[in-house]
Amino acid sequence: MVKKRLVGVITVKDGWAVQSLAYTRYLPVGRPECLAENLERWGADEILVMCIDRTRKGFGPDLALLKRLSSLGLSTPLTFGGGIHTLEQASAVIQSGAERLCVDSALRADNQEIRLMAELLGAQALIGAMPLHREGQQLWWYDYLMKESSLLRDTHLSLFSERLISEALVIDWRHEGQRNGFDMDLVTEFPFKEVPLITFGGLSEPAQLTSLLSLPNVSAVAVGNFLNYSEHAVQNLKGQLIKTPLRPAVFKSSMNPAI
Amino acid sequence: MRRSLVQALQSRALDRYVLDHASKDRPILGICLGMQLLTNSSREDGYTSGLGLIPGDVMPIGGETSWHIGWNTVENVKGDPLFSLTADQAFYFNHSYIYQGPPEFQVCETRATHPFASAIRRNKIVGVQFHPEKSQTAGRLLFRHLLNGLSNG
Repeated sequence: MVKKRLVGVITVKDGWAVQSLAYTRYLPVGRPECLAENLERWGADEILVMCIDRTRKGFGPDLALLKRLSSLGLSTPLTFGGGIHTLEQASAVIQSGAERLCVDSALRADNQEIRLMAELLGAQALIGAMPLHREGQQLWWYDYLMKESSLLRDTHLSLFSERLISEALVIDWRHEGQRNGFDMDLVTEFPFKEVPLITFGGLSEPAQLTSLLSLPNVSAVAVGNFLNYSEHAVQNLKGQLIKTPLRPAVFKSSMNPAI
Repeated sequence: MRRSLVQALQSRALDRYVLDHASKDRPILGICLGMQLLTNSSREDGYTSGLGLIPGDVMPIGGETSWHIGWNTVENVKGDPLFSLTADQAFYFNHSYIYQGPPEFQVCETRATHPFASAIRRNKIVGVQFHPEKSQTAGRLLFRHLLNGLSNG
């Protein structure tokens, strides 16, 4: 059966990888290419590059960055997000080397463009980012452009229920960058149980990841800056998750020596 | 996606190039959509014809999930030496359509919601539904083995 994934997230602002804290503070980390090379070398199951300032600045996707990443010859699946609003932009992202793309504000803006993307590229290529927080028993969807939240309604999720988008990236934006901060209720209270979820925001601890990976609707856990603190961070983290349905850590020495 | 790819192939006469290559018994490896193009037809984007190099058709995955995304294992059900290295290794998949055709061409199988052909072969023409180029070390080793086997076989 298909394995669950550990996704390494690279958050990019002004062309630089940053540590993002609750969508408000940003600390520089370095060049996105260096982080991508590390995640590749350590065996991340997928790399998600999110350029968080492209839409706000009125830019399209950062294709120059994507082409630099592609030129590295990465053999790790790459998902790219930021500034993608039209079918033309989505196609350019795939043609520039991403396997999949992630949309956030486009989910609010123009469902017709998302439908066209799903029709041409396939639902398997599309991830929808949903920054959420919980108040009481209700989930609220955060609009990072307007800096305001609205109550999450079933109508907001029609693209998921129609299977035009294959996975939802559930972001605990309030706890982003906070060790062990992810609110599990964002997953357990998510309205459509059949939508595969990638969880992100405040994920750092093995016990926390183990709990999430045990949930049937969680297909992947995404970790950002916590993977940047030590060498071989992906293998070390996976080593503590061996009882989960995650793809096991891969070391070159563990491959068939006969080859 | 498929329709635009077929049109791109035809506009560059690459379909004829591939068919000519196959007629000379030269090795061909198709990956993902490239594998699907080797077959007779596909239901993606309506009905589109394929290169017809391996009998069979491409159909939607169907069932509870409409896609298959992530790392999964590949079972060498025919014991094909080209795929002898796939045991216990996971490869990256990202697709919504699968091959359906005569069992004799289905050399590897993968179990998702239902089992499906993850590698097909007819002599020196090979197709893999997964992405060796995105499967890290396992993919690189498989590539090397496939290329050596197809070139020297």
